[in-house]
Amino acid sequence: MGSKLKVDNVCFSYYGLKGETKTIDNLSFEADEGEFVAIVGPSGCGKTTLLSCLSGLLVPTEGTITINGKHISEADVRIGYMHQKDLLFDWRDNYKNIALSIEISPFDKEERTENIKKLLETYDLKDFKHSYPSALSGGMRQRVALIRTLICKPDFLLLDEPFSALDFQTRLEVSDDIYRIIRKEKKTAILITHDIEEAISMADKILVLSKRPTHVIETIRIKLSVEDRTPFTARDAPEFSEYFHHIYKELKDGEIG
Amino acid sequence: MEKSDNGAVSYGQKQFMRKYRIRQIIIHTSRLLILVLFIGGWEMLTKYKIIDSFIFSSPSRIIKAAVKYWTDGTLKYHIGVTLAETFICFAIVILGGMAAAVLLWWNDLVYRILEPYLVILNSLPKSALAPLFIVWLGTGMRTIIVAAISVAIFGAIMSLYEHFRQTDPDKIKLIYTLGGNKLTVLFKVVIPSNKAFIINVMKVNMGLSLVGVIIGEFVAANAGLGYLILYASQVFKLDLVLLSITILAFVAAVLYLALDLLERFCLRSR
Ligand SMILES: Nc1ncnc2c1ncn2[C@@H]1O[C@H](COP(=O)(O)OP(=O)(O)OP(=O)(O)O)[C@@H](O)[C@H]1O
Ligand SMILES: [Mg+2]
Repeated sequence: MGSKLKVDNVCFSYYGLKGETKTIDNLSFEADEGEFVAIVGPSGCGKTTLLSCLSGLLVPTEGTITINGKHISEADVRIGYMHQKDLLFDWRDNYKNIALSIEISPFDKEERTENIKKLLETYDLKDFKHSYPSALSGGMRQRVALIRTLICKPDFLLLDEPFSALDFQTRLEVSDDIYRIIRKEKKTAILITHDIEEAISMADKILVLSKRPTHVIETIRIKLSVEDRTPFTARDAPEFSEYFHHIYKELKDGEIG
Repeated sequence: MEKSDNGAVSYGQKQFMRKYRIRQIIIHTSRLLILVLFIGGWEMLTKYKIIDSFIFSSPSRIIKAAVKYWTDGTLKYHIGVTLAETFICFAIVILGGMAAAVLLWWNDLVYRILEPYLVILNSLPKSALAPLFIVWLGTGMRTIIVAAISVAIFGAIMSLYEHFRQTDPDKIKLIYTLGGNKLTVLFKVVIPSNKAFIINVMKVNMGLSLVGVIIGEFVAANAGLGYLILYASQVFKLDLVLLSITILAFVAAVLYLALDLLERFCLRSR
């Protein structure tokens, strides 16, 4: 099942003794079922804060967030959140790291435990099942974290710069993996990234955010004329550099203005 | 021995292992040598009356005393009392310390309120409380255990809490995004990520419990190794004093080694 997300005039402030930090200011957007939305914006503008609101960890000070028409606290969807760091626990082996998400929300346990084995094979991690995260390379760790997120069959994926710690090549590979899974299973996904090329190569739609307090400056639909679009082939599309320059300029103007 | 990828042991690896083994031999023989020289020197000095064996005792006199007091049951009894007191104190300090630290971690408001009192209680020299405990609780095991607990517990609470609080907030966030609650955070992140430190706290507090118990036995006991040391020194049985101290050193070492084994067992997988 896909999910339709609607973010309506959301505001968020952090409160502290030194005063209020207004972080999100009247931000609205929508993501349709199966749509892949990328969000780019200056560093520190409030992207992670926005994802925390979308996942229900933070409650907006104003505005509403709904999934399939229901408020997120009541919506019956499973949200998968992929963090910037892999956050693998070094006291658990790789298998148990993945199983963590099953331990915490233990419905259809058996089927999902079966699933771990399948996914470990798919990602060439079978031999590392019982080794510890410290024995893995950055790319492998990120894949284990990816399996941990996917094992609960989320309908809705939140990705907070999940590739930024990886070297260029691994980054392409992992983002290709994620792209395929999301497309195949028609999941709705929100991807935060610093990398404009990555955003264009993966997304159906890109939101460009302003600096803090952040709101949407522009929504750009990405249409690339390539057959069999993947993050690899997308980069060869004739429109690619045009989009790149456009977004680059938006971000630059946003930072000054 | 670790072998290189193709299975053969290279020249460099062999050299390394040779150096390593020589180093190990030096370390172990030197350790043994120090012990032999110390005991032998002590024995010689007393034998040739360079120092007075009545005041300084001597290894042979200590062994004689050991045989005597072991066969008449004195040693067994006093060691048993000290060990029992130490274990009870240790168990209460660790269980109580963990419970209190978890409570403070759970509710920051409680910590904020209690912080100044904890700091004061922690820095107060606990031996100053001993006379008070004697007045309130009389002499005997109960007083000793309470005194020993007071020596160790506040430090245990403070340091455990401090480490719990410093648990990686991102890992805590991960648990919440996976659908967990505060209890899940406690058992899946806070305690396991601090496992090494908790064992370290156990090591330190095993030592502190013993210190507390001996202090307690000095002032308020009629049994235990601390009592034996004090009593024997008052009647100038220096053989017995030094015997008791030697036994105490052994007891401390054995307790430490036990926890060291526990540590290796718990952390072996990393
Ligand atoms: N817990 C908090 N309390 C107070 N202020 C916070 C808190 N978390 C974040 N902020 C502030 O809110 C603003 C937005 O932070 P956020 O982490 O959402 O930015 P970001 O866009 O994700 O940044 P980056 O690109 O570096 O990841 C920052 O100015 C930050 O200082
Ligand atoms: Mg961020």
